[in-house]
Formats: sequence, C-alpha cells, structure tokens
Amino acid sequence: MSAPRTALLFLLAVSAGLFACGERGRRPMTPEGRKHVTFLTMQLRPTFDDYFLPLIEQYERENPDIDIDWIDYPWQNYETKLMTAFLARSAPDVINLPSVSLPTYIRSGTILPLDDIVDPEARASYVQSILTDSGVYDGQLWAVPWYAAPEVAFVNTSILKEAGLTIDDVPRDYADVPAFCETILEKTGKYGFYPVYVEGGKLRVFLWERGVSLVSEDGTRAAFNTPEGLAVFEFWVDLYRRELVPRDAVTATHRIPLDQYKTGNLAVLTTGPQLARQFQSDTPEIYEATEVLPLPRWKGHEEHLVSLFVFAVSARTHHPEESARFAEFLTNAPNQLEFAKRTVTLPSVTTALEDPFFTHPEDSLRGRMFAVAAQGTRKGQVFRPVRENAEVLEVLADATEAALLGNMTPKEALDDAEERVNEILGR
Amino acid sequence: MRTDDRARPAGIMTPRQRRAAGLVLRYAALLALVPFFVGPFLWMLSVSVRETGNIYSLEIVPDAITYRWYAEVWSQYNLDRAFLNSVLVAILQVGSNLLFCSLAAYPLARLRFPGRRLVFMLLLSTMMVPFQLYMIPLFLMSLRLGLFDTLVGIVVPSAAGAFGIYLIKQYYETIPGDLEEAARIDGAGEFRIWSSIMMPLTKPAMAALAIFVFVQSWSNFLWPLIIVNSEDTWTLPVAIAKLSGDFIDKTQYIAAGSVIAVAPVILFFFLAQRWFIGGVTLGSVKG
Amino acid sequence: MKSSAGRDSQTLTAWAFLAPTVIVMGLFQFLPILGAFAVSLWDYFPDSPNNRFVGLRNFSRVLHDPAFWEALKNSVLYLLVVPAIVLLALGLALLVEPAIPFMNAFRACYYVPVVTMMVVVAYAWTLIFNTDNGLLNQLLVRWGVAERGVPWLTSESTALWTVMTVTVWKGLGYYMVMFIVALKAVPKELSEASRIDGAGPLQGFLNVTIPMIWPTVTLTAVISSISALQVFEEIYMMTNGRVGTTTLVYDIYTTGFDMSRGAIDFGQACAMGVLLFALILGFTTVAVRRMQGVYSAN
Repeated sequence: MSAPRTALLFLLAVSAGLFACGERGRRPMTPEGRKHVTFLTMQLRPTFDDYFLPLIEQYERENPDIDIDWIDYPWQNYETKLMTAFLARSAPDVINLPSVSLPTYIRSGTILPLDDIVDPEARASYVQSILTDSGVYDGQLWAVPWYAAPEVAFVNTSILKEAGLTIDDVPRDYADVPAFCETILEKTGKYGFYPVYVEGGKLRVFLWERGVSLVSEDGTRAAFNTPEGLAVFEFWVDLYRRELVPRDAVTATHRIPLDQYKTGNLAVLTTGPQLARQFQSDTPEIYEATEVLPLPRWKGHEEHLVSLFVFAVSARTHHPEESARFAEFLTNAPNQLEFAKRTVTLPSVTTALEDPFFTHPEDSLRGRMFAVAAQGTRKGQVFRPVRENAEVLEVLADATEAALLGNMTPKEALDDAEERVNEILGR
Repeated sequence: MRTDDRARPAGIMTPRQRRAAGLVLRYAALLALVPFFVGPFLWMLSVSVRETGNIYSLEIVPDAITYRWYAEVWSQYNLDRAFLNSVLVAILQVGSNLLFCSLAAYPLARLRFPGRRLVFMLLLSTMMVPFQLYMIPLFLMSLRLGLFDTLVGIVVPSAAGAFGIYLIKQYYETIPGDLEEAARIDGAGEFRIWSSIMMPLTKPAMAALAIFVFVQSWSNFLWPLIIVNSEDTWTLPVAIAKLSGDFIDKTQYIAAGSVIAVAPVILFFFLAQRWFIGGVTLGSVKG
Repeated sequence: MKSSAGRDSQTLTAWAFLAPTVIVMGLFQFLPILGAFAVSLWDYFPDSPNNRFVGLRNFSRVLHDPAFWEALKNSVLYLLVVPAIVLLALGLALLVEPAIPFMNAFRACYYVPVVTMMVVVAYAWTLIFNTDNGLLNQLLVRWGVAERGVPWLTSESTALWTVMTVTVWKGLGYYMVMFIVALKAVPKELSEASRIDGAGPLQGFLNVTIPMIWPTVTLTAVISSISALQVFEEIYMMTNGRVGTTTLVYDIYTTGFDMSRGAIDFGQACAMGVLLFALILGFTTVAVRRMQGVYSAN
C-alpha cells in the first residue's frame, strides 16, 4: 500500500503551502508594477486599527501606484525583532521608533539619512526643537517626529478619601513623595507610588529630572556620578529600601503598576496618558474616581521629559522617496491631530498643537488630561541618547538593581556604573 | 476485652488494621497532593473568568463570572492565528518525525550494511548536544534559506530526531524475522516489505512517538521565539509569552490565553492517557 | 549466503531509507553544530565587512566577564533540582505504585504538568508567587504563617529557589512514571525473601529495591541534570534573568538575541554555547561513572 507515499505527498503539499504563507508580504514589487511600502508601528495593533486602516485606504486611493502594508510588533523585544527582520532582508520601509533608540540604528547603518528626501515644506511644519532633538545627529536628519507621550500622574481619589487625604495632598514635589506613600500605606495598606526602576534603565530619567547629565558634553565619559546624582539615586533607593513602594518594583515593567492601579491597589500611577483608555474601558469605576495631575517635579527643575516616537526609513528600502512621502503623510497636521485625539498623546506639528482642542480643552477628565499633557509637552524636552544607549542603560539597570537589593550602597553602585560606562564609551 | 488490650497495647494494630490504616493514609496523601499539582491550573482558570476589580481576591469561584476575555483574546489578539499555527506545526512535526524516524530506523534495525553502527552512533550523538549550542548558526542559516518567519522554519530543525529513531529501532528489533524473510523469498522489494509488513507492526511505538513529538511541538518555545517575527507565524507559547510581556495589560487576557493554550493538550491527555505514559515507558527501558 | 551483488543492493536500499533523515538532520543539526564551533572563533555578524577570525578571543572575553561566572554559578546551583527530583519522584512512584482503585486518576493528575507548556506553567506560578497579590502570600497571611507577604520572585535570597521549585514541580510526573516502570520490574519474590530474612520494610527497600532500580535512578539523574543545565523558559517568564537568576542559557539568549540588553554578539554567544556543551558533557560523564560505580563495585 502507498500509505507512506500519500503521507509524503501530503507533507510536501503542506510544506509548500507554508512556505508560500511565509513569503507573503516580502515582495518589493507586485506583478503589475505597483510599489510596496511597508510600515512598522510599535504596539498599536489591534487597538488603533480603526485609525490606520482608513488612513491606508485613503493614501492608496490618492496614490494609485502605491500599496501600503502595515505591520506591528509588540513593545517587548521590538528592537530584536527589527534586527532579525533586517538580517532576513525583510525589514519594513518605514519604521516607527522611540527617539531614544535612533543612535543604535544610525550606528549600525540600518536607516537612511533623510536630508535629501524629506520635503522641505513638511520639514518646516514640525516643532523645530523637537525635530532637532529627536532626529538630528551629526548634522543630519535621520527621522521625522511623530507623537509625544509626556507622562502624567493619575490619582485614584477613592484611595485618597480612604486615607483621609484630598487631591491637594498629592505631592507636586518629589521631596513629599515618601511622606505621602507612608500615609497611604498606613491608612489603607495600599501603595502611593509604584516606580518602574529597571525597565529601560529608568535611572536615566531620575537623573535627568534633577538636571544630572548621563554623559559629558562630548559623549566620552560618564557624568552622572556627582553629589546631585548620588542624592537623587539615594532618594529612589531609600523609597524602596523603606518598603514604601512595592517590593516587586525591582523587576516590574510598566505593565505592572498599570495593573495595580486598575485593580485599585495603587493611589498614584505615573504613566503616559494614552494608557488611560485601557482602564476606562476595563474598570469604569476606577476611571470615574481618577483625577489627573502633572508629574511631580524637583524644586527648581521644571522641565518635563517627553518620550517621542519618530519615523525612520530603512536603508534597505527599494523606495526611499515613497517611504519618506508616506512618513510625512502619517505625521502631517490633520493626521497627527486625529491620532492625538484618539490616543491622548501630543502632536509634534506646530499647527496641530495650536488647535483649540489643546488650547481650550473640554472640561472632562479627558480634556484635563490633554491640558496637563500639553503643558508638559510645551515645557518638554526630548532625551538625547548616546550612541551606546542600550549598553549604558543596561549598566544603569544593573546598578539600580544592586542598590535596591542592598548588594551595594547607592554610592558603590554609582561608582561601579561610572566605571563601566566609561569603559563602554571608551571602546 | 481486657486480655485483648493486654495482648495488644494501644497503638499496636492487627496486620489487617494496619493495612487498612496504611490504605487510609495513602489515600489521604494522594488526595493532599492533588491541589499541589492541579491547583496552579485551577487558579489560572479562576483568574481568567473574573472581572478586573477582584482578580486577586482569594475565592476560587468568583461571584461574578465572565467569559468575555476568552472571546476578546481569541479574536483581537490573534490567538486564533496562533492556535492554527500551533496545529499546523504539530501536524507537520509529528508527520515528518513518524516518516523520517520510521524510514531511518528500519535499515538500522533490520538490514546489514557497512557503516551501520557508525551512522547510528552519529545520529544518536546529537542527543548529547544542547540545542542552545547550535541555535545561532541554525538561525543564521535559516535566514539565508528563507526559512525565517515561516512555519516550516519552526519545524525543520526537529523534523527528525535521534530519540525517535532510537525508539522505533528498538521496536523493529523485537519483531521476529520470519515474516520479512517470507516476503523476501516472494520477491518483494525492501520498500514494499517496510511499507506493507514492517512499518504497520510498529504502530504502538509510532503512537508513542507521535504523542511525544506532539507534546514537544505544542510546548516548543525557544526556537519559535527566535525564528518567528510576525503575528502571522507565531505559535501559542510565543503568543502567550508576548501577551504576558508588555504586549497587553489585562491579566485575564493572559490567563484566558493560557487556558486556551493548555486545555486541548490536557483534554487529549485525559482521553489518551495510556499512550502518553506509554511513551515514557518505551523510551526509558533499554531494549 | 548472499551474493556480493545482493549485499550491494541491500547497502543501497539501506541508504535510500536513511537518506531523508540523514539529509534533514545533517543540514539542520550536524551542520549548525559544526557551525557553532566555527562561529565561536570568529567575530561574526551577517553582512558585516568586519568579519574575521579571532581565535580564542571570544572565549577569553566570556571567561573574563563576571556576568558569565554569575550565570555559571546559578546554572551549577540549579543542579540542586536533581536530588529533589529523584527523591520526590521516587517517593511519588512508591505512593502511586500499588494497583488500588482510582490510582490511574491520581497518576494522571500528577502527570498533568508534564504535558502542559512551560510558558503557561511559569505564568500560572507567577500569579501564585506575586508578592502583594499572589495566592500563596495571601494564604500565608490569612493562615497566620507569615505576617506579610514574602517577595518570592523579587528578592535575591528566594528568586532562584522559587524558579527551581517550578522546574521540579513540572518534571516530577515524568520521572515518577519512569520509577513506576522500574519498581514494577522488581521481582516480588526478592522483597519477600528479604522479609523472611527478618529485614524490615525499610531495610528491604534499601537493600533490595534500590539496587534493583539503580539504573533508573542514574538515568533520571542524568536526564534531569541535562535539562537543569539548559533551563530557560522558567527564567524568561518569571524573572527575566533579574534578581540573580541569570543562567547560562539565559545568558546565551541575551548575548545572541536581546538587543535591549546591548549590542548582540553571535561569536560570544556561540563560545558560551561551546562552554555549556563542555559542562554538560563533563558533568554527565562524571555523574554516570560515579553512579554506575555505586553498586557495580560490590
């Protein structure tokens, strides 16, 4: 009987089918000669399908020779996935990146300089300081800015009430955070704040908030091991060591505090305002009780750190011009405004920021969120990373962990981190 | 009564009583261990049907039960695709292992040819090599062969394996030689002998191997994690890991997704228990 | 006696049967294994113009990296799951061995973790081990065993042990079945004979049963130590290699594939793979020899 032969044929057929599956979406050109532009976003699917899909349709209608493919990778392992896509020669043409990871891609030659292909008029439409801080390295433009996500503080007022506090008792100055956490913990058994310590080398933000630079002007030496740097590091380590924040904070990623806030176990959640929609739909009772405030500051340091997302163009693209056009389209004023409204993020185009939507926000939690976030963005600055960003952040993460767990004093951890960062920068 | 008491002071029992007490103790221990082994799954199941407000409260059966997380995670987070991919990968992997191992084991067990021992030892030696040693060259090679981000790319490194060959070879060796000799005298070709006489006789070993490979394929994580990039090709373990990473923030989604991922295999296990356990037995007893 | 032509044709047939497997395993197992040794001697990145042979430099870098030694220490520490697995699995096997009612149901229950995927199992246990909301801590506090929750997965004194517990839990059923098979093979007459000799059940067990099932003990120890040295998924899911839980394989993964932890380095990752291989080979050889010697000496 030919049972094995049938099985073999079946396997071959299935394999061929699967190969075909995997090859989908890799063609630079369809048979009819239409051009394919693939764009990659960072964790926006499926949440924003109803924003992007009509937009893609509109663009394809207006540019009949272009086909747009949309891919989305989750936040976790984003860079690794992108790198493997490059190695497999299947990288997308237009790539959404957090501005802080741009240097990694410039260094490895995976993205194109855009000076010659970005339309000058489009270039002039962006908020120029944001464009420069996020996209210009070595005098060249590498990316166009998209949306900004300034952090705000969400406050669960029912926990405040339970602790006998009001919204005015929520710290505006970091110096008041420990006392606040202590009160909340004593009165309710819940936590006041939940800092994310290790993810993305958060120490860089702690330092920045107090005006401490990570590296020297010329980028060759660590610059954070100063009395000021030590003071701010000690502050955050102390908060943890005194167990005023959850002990799981040593490994927590930003998902965990959000989860704690949604389940009513956290009084103040500091995060991007775009995450509000997740607890709005999920736990309306928490959303009802939520008020929004600006992030606490250090006295004398009023700047806000703004995370910015940008679009870059792959060095492997077959259609650099078309890719740049599409990136401009996604980041033009009307599209950014619409995206901002849906996500509660801030646009990086001047005219969009001047929309009444931001200048005269409605009187609702959503409106106040925009007001607080817009205020942050106006005073905002974009973090300028060094070339060896990932390595440096990993060192900071290690140092933070060592100090939190008490393996090193903050001073020792900072000394050690300084030495390692110098070694990295000196390579 | 008094004499009885004197003969057997308190605490000493008749052998029969002792056996009964032993039995009670044994069952007590057996029962006590059950929550330890199935508890984590039940807890996950319990979390997966809760509303967000009380996901961490202690009761196993929550007051308000909702199944909507299952529907949402299934359709919105592409778990349907992951499930389909896992099924396809499992079919392909089980099929190819049965075919390749059965083909390769036959001459190793039943035919005489120079280099037989050497080939067998070489194939067997791969069992000693940890996958993590060669995953990087394998990955780089797969990129060049166009296997990156394809389902075939997931299957190919484990399309055949030394364990399977060993298992089937052991079984072939237990089959008496008369049948084969008779067929040979009748002038049947070797392929014919294998496909119509020998291979069908190894069904128990094939079944054990199929289940072993299926469980492995269904759980396989590290390699798919590396070789898969898009949601179009991810399998269940990769999908669950992504869900529980920073992808989404609903604990119930992850729990519901996890239940979806393990429920089929647990159900299958309870239906075909004998075969599952048979695989361990066949594999661990030296023939 | 067969003619030489017959033998030739049988050789040809044999290779025809072997060909598909030899090709697949050759291409996707042997070739990359050789490739790993090669890459470990190179500074290598696909399409990079700077690829070059660097001899043993990758090894020397790895051996000078404190992170590697930390990972190695944890991997060796992880081998402590082996005695736990052997003892508990044997105990479990003795418990479920007699053929009494419902025994199959119990065996099946204990075997369930074996058939489920580690990714899910690890996640389920994460829900249990969470410090502030986990099931375990809530129970401990309610029962008054602990005044407040223990940070199972987020303190250095407990994290690695917690993850090891999950590894043991996941594997017990598998090794239990191996022991059941071995115990069934122990002839009843032997243990009865020892009882007639006046030995107690414990003595009988130690003097008769254990030597009889020793090959299985050895096999169990070897299999479980090989997999202990390759542990990855538990770490990836439960601690991400933080709080002192990085193991060798986790380190290989981050070096070779995790860009968020710094630039990736295939050469060094392969060098670590070679060292892992050497460790597994060395450890199992010594372990097998030692354990086989226990009863064959007398």
